[in-house]
Amino acid sequence: MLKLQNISKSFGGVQAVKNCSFEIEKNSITALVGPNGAGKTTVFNLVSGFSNPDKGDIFFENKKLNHLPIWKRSRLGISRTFQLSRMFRNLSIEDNLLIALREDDDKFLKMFLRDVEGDKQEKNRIYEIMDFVGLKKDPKTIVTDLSYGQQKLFDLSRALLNSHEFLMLDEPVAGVNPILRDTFKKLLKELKAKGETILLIEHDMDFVRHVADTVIVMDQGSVLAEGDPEYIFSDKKVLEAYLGTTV
Amino acid sequence: MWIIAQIFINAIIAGSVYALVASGLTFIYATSRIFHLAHGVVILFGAYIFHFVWVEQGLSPALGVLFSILGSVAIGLLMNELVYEQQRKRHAKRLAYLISTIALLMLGTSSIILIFNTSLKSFNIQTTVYRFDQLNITLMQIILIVISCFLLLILSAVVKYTKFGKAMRATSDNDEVASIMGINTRQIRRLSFGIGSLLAAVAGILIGLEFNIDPNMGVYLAIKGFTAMVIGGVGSIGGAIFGAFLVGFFEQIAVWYFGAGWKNSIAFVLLFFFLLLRPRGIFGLKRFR
Amino acid sequence: MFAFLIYILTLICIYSIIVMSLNLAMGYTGLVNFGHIGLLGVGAYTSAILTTKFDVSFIFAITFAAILCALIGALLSIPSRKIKDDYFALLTLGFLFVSGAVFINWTDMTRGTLGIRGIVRPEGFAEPISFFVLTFIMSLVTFFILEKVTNSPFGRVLEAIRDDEQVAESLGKNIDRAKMVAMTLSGFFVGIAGVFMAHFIRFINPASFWLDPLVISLAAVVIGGLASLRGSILGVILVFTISESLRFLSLPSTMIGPMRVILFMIVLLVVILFRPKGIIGRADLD
Repeated sequence: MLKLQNISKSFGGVQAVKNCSFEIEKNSITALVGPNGAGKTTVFNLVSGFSNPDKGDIFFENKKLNHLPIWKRSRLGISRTFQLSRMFRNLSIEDNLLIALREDDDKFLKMFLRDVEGDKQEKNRIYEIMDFVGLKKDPKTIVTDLSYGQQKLFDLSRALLNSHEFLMLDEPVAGVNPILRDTFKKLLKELKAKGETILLIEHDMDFVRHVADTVIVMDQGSVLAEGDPEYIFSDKKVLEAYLGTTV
Repeated sequence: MWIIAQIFINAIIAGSVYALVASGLTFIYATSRIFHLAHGVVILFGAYIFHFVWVEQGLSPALGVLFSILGSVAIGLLMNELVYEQQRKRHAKRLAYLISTIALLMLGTSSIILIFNTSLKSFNIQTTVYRFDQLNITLMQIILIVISCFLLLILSAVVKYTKFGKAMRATSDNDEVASIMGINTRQIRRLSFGIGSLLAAVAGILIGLEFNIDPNMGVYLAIKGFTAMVIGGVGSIGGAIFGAFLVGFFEQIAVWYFGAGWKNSIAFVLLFFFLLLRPRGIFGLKRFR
Repeated sequence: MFAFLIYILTLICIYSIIVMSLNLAMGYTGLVNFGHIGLLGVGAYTSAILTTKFDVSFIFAITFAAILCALIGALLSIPSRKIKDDYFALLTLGFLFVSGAVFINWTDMTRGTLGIRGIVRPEGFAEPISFFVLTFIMSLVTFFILEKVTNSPFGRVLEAIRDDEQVAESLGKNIDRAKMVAMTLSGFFVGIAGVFMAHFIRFINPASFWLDPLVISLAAVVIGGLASLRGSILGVILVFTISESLRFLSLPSTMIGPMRVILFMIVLLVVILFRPKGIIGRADLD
């Protein structure tokens, strides 16, 4: 579904990603792991269009993404979350999610005369997803009122509501309490059962072990190792790269 | 032929003043990341206080310079303390800073009009004119250039060689890290505003001596300073100086070709092109040097 | 006394249009457009020149001016694709200055600092009251149209762009096009306001589109509240009320102008610092 071929990217002298290549299969959960600075978030940015590669190609469903603007990539089916929650701070949860759900709302003439409230169908879809992830909050509340854990659930809801074929989750459970962590494990597995394809960045190895089919380890900008979780976590190279981190 | 040379000379004269403004702005932007358009007000106070003390009150020019610098620095620091720092405390958005700096600019300009009244002020300085064939340059103009260069050299030295300069560079690169490393970033910002305002005061004084002063020049000078900063690459003092000269140069060309009315618009045209085509400026530095 | 009231009310209507359209760009879409007043001038001058120099009908003039300003608004939005935030604001400030320079220097058309006199009101609306009614209707129409725009899914997308442009884009929104629409609409209505201003005061010169309108509109849009059309109207009313009360202080005429600016700017700063949402705004500046 997604293919990176020899991707390189540097920022003002710092080589963030170097000759990175990997492929993601449809209907799988892949975890992108590696020490801080390994280039994981840069890869996310390169795929979603927040950044453009210096060298190499990115293919999504055989379409070359290389200099496509962010919104076009999103419309191709790429949906992502961010390490630090980014929301439309002055709008309510419902408004935030409606924006994610709706597809032609950036077209003025089409939307000019529509009702801002969202029709029954749209609202039901939103409540459905909020239910699914377990986000129990009045949708009319301002989005900044959410607790940290709820923000993570919100991020996932938004990514799900945004029409997509491919989900990229950037540290979905970072700093989240163990109960919520378990919830996320279940959610991701359910999503896979529903046919979703997920690529996630995570540092919590236990979480990764439970959830991922494949693990890709990055270090210093390139892929160090790739395989299923058990194999990866016993690989010497990987342990060395992670020196100091508990596995 | 001589016209080109005269243009060059005029460009250097104007450029010297713009360079003082631009370097001050660079200092301020480097440590606070604020587009301090209200800097123009500081320049105005520098010029008007000097004029008031020396010409209107008849006191010594040295006293004029003293009050001018003290007054301008005070104003610059006040703007920072009362407005920008307060906004920083509240984690204001970029939009908020933009509005407040424009508000301060208009507030300041109107205050000048109120306090000193709007008529054009001039110093009526006549100094010896030196002629080389068809080139003219006055003693005043030479002094202006020399003072500018002198100050800018000192400034560069301070940034490069002193502990303070190091702290400024650190704050500019990453103020969170700098503050964790024990640098009092708030002090650094204060000092930047202080130094920037001092440079602005001198610029105001020199402008007054060489040209005339009017309340609207504040905003024009601020814009030209920003243009110079952007051309040279935001954060580079050397770049700002170069940019300042470029602005001066193109202005002279514009005046020659199109007449004086368009002089102040040239800076914008330059700004526009640089932002579109080469936003990182000529020297492309994102670090404070 | 009554005539004075009508005069002020007409101005309030005109400024409501100016501030509401400014709010659309700034409060809803997050585009700081200091050049808004420059466009006001373009609308005014266009209509003034067309009707006085070329003897064109009011209807034609206002249509032409509005479309011209809409177009310029659209053009101004293009740099915002590459040039962001502060730099974009700087550029719009540049537009304000350049338009000012054009008004002063293109003397063939604009008569420079002398200004254009004797602008005639449209047939049948020469009387202050009837012109006021016309203006009032225009401001109502503006309100209703902009209300529909901002209270629609498209309006929400504009707010999304204001709050986090990249995230909006990552949700599939063509932000460049949306911003262009916002600036086009904003330009369209401020152009209309310019025409009304020219035909109301019947005399314009470059100074009419400089400090004063900028101060008033900036103060009104922030004090009233960003992202609130009603707030903009409220802001304008408030600003004019304060402004007119200054008359009672019987200051020398040269002092009134600067004093007004100082007063408004202080209030503006206080609002920004202590109540960034303004009176009934929705968008926070923090």
